[in-house]
Amino acid sequence: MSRAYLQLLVLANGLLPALLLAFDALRHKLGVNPVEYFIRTTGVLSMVLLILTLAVTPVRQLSGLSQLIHVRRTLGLLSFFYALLHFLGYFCLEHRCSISSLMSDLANRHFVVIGMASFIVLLLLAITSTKAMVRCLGGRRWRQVHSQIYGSSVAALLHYWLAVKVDTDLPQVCLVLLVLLLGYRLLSRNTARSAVTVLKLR
Amino acid sequence: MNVKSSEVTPKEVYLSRRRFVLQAGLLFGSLAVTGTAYRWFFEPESKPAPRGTPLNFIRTKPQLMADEHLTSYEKVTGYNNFYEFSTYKQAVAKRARQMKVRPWTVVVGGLVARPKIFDIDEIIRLAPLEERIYRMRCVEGWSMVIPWIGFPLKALLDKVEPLSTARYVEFESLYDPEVMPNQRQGLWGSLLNWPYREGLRLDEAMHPLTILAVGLYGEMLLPQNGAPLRVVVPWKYGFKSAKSIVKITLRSDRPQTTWNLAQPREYGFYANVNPAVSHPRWSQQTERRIGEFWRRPTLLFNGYAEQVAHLYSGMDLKTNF
Repeated sequence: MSRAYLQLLVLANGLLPALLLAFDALRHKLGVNPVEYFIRTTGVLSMVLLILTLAVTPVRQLSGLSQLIHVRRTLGLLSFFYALLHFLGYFCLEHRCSISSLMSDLANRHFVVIGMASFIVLLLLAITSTKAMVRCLGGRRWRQVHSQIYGSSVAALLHYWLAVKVDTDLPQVCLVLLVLLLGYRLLSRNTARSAVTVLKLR
Repeated sequence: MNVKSSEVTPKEVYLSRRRFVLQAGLLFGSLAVTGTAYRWFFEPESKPAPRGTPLNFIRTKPQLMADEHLTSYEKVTGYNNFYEFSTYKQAVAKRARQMKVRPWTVVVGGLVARPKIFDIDEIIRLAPLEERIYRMRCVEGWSMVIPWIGFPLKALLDKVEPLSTARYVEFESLYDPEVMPNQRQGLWGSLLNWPYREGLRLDEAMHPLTILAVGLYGEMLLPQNGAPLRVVVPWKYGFKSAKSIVKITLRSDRPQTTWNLAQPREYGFYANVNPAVSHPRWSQQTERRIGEFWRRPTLLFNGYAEQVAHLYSGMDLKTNF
């Protein structure tokens, strides 16, 4: 499958929930508490797409489907897109776009701060996601910057966990997936390191 | 068969067409799956609830501010916090549909002179049913205006004659894991400590605003709203108003209540609506009235300060949250 087709496939599927959300909103079919529905749904979608983004590398390496690398950026940008909608919903519909109201919430509520930190990292990664930026930063530095997605994903999960009352079923599922995906990276880094040591010893 | 060689599709064209059909099929197939998964998972709409049985009651004039209106029947019966059934408010009505509310008895006992097991139909006839239009403020930051049908809890308590040693009233809700899926043990144990328990100080329970509700919008309660019998304490966060009550016990010591046991730092025993006392994780200054777009300010004691503030005179509402 061509690179363009794969990207189209991911983009179309990734944007479909946003289209349905907009369509339902126009028909007044977002349920009894539409604002809460919008904020919660975009937040969960962002989390799901963040996990899918992190899954690309392990799945690619384990399955040998090297083409998957072409959709990693698309998935990451989709995750950012939903995080942006989530933030705008919270800022504009809960705080009526009032910076002072937002600030007082940030001053008092840890889980909002944590979510905001995760969002700002995603924003920076989205800005630096272009080819020109890769060239500008240089591959090594660019990878360093983009490895901040790990911290951002942990913050996003913590934010999600703290936002629910006692029903942590879905955050628990996300936790298991994140542990697997981040653990895979730790393990493969250590194996790579020991391979290097073996080579040096030789 | 007479086919000219010019009419035969060249192999490359045939293959690229085949690829095109495959790729288009995969694209639309995957979109169908994604769209269905999205709708199934997030369930934006709830199905309208069937109507309840009509009740005879005394109509009253709503005591609301000019900008307040009743929350629609569909919303009151379609958006419910009833954790025994689901933590998803729009799924409760559907999941609660099979709940049986007859026969139903309520054991009233503890520190009383005349303990008694009441049949629900006896309770409904115990005192004249009145309509009480109350604000309902959830601790999560949303609110409704609901026309309850019921009578003061005091009427029932007077029947059993509380002893002078009784200082608290405890409410116990139905425990029936067969019909209440979240009462079954999950992989990580139980969601909350079941059965659901709530409690009030005796003076709060005897307050004329505190009612036992058996209906709303002129009809008997539906399961999702706490059928067949619930308490409604309008100046406290919604979780204090226990649903589907099977047992009422008068005690001398303060009862252990479900949410307080689960997260004592977040859910106090009093749980009076108070914009000045934040929940540790969110502010309580404003609320979203269901049906309205913007948030509105939350009122002290949910707007019933005039009637109930004296119950807490001299108490620090920040520590007794």
